[in-house]
Amino acid sequence: MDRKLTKKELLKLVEGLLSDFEVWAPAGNEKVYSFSRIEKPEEISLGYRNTVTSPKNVFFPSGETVYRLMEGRPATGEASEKPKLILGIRPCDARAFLMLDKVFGGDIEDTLYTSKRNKSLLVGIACNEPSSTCFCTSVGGGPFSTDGLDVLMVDLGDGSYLLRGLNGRGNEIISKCGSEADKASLDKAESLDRAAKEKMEISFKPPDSLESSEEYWKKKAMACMDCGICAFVCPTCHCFDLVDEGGCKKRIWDTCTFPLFTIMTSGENPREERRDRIRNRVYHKFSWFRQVHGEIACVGCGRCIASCPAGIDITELVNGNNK
Amino acid sequence: MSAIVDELRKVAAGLLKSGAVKVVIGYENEAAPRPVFLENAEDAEKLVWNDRCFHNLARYLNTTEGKAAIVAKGCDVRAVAGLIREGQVKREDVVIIGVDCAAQTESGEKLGKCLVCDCHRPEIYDHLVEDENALVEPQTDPYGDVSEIEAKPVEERLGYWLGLMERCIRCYACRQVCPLCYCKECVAEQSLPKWLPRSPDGKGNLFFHVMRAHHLAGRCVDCGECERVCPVDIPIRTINRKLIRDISELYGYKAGVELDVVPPLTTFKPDDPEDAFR
Repeated sequence: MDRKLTKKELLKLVEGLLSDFEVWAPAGNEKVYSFSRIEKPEEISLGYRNTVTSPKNVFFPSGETVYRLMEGRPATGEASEKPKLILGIRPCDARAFLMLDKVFGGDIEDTLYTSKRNKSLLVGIACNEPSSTCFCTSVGGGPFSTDGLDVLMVDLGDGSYLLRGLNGRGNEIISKCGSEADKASLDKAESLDRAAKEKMEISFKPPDSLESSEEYWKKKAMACMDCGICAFVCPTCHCFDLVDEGGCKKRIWDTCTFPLFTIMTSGENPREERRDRIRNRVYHKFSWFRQVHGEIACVGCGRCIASCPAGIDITELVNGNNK
Repeated sequence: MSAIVDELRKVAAGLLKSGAVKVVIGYENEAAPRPVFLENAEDAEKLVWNDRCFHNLARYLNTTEGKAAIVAKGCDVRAVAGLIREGQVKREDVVIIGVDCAAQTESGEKLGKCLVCDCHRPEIYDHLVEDENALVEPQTDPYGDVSEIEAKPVEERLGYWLGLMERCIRCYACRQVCPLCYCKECVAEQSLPKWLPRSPDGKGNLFFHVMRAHHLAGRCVDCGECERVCPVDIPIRTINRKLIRDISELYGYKAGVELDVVPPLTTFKPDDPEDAFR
């Protein structure tokens, strides 16, 4: 189902959604632009390019209570009554949730994640203007990819939006708004898609398997400073640690780039060297995840490239392999 | 190619060729400069210099092997001086290639730290790459924003900082880029005893940042790297500069300017006017 909405009709649609869903959307200013819980339609800003941090915090917050030690009951029972809806999610980030679903929703279900993710709805917005660090088309995605989405919105550039319902639930929420999309709008969306793909500055083909020397990773890792930006802004990085704090067992984001990530009680650290940590992060995404789940755990959002304090570019790390 | 880049490459190539250093730490990639580690004289051609050479490369002196030469702006040199003063690096093990720097700019605007810079020409160096045009006066009051926040009532101030700290995702990039944050084990990660929570929330994050600022009191050189790299745009420099001003007013001391002055918080006098210290 394709509907065409004016900006005003879109805001009205959001207003309606607010009563049925817990709505998360991009908000904030240009510097601190992230997915936040929205109370009013006006808070949403769809104009920016990709957010600094990914929307993974909606289902996988940077810190959350697993259970209370004193009361001994699971905290998952507190999950919000309303299902969550992410509005204005980029196609790359929506694909990332399909990957997280495999990790958290596999044979052993992670109910902290699935209780938030189940029944959620993803309303995406196509990328008319990819950033200079974007490379979704190199890793199986695209600026207008519909993978993982229920609805895809396209900003037609003339103050109106094309809303494409991609399944029953998606169709249901858009069926009563705006008008049926005319052919001109559909053509426009198609040409925007083509143009966006052409604007993509980075293009490469990830090798099927990675093989490179210790020396290679030592060189590539020299500039790395062991912070967690790349993993924490990444929509697919999903490692966490468990801590006892404030009478609660909490889980917090963790990352293989932290030297303490692999340290054991004995003091032994199998990945003490920086080269091993960087290699681990790249191999996990581009090799091991593929072996286990059949696809690369990178959606090409480019956030790690944009935010790395040392200017490290993951596409360079991958491309320099096997040489 | 500018005369500055030419000079930089010449000095670097010379140092590598003669074997005076094992590695030159500088910047590569003209469009978006980033750290580079050169071990061969021929690679000196990779070096670049422009107004986007943000990184304080002093951060890498501890992690590179062998004697190193470092391309450093005035603020970076102060960090190198701090490392030497604190015994982390030996003066004779580092060759400082100082570069006169007018300002670093982001989207055409000078960085906040560059507006108040008083070290366009490095104070300590082995080689100096000069640029007369870089030697400009500070443009604004260095502590204007600190005074502004200080003037607010305590409750409001706390609310201001807690609001900002809510955003912190504990990526620890501020700590990791800091040349003076070289502790092998940070208080933030100690578990026996555990000093502060690791799960991110406003109060815990504030605890972390204030703790870090205090550990940098009298040591922070205001290179501004912590604030530059923060992915969620927390104005970390403001906290550090509050302490820089306090140290300056209390002890007339500025970190990293001179090598032979004892930092006030690392010394002790039997006749200290404060009872607590006697």
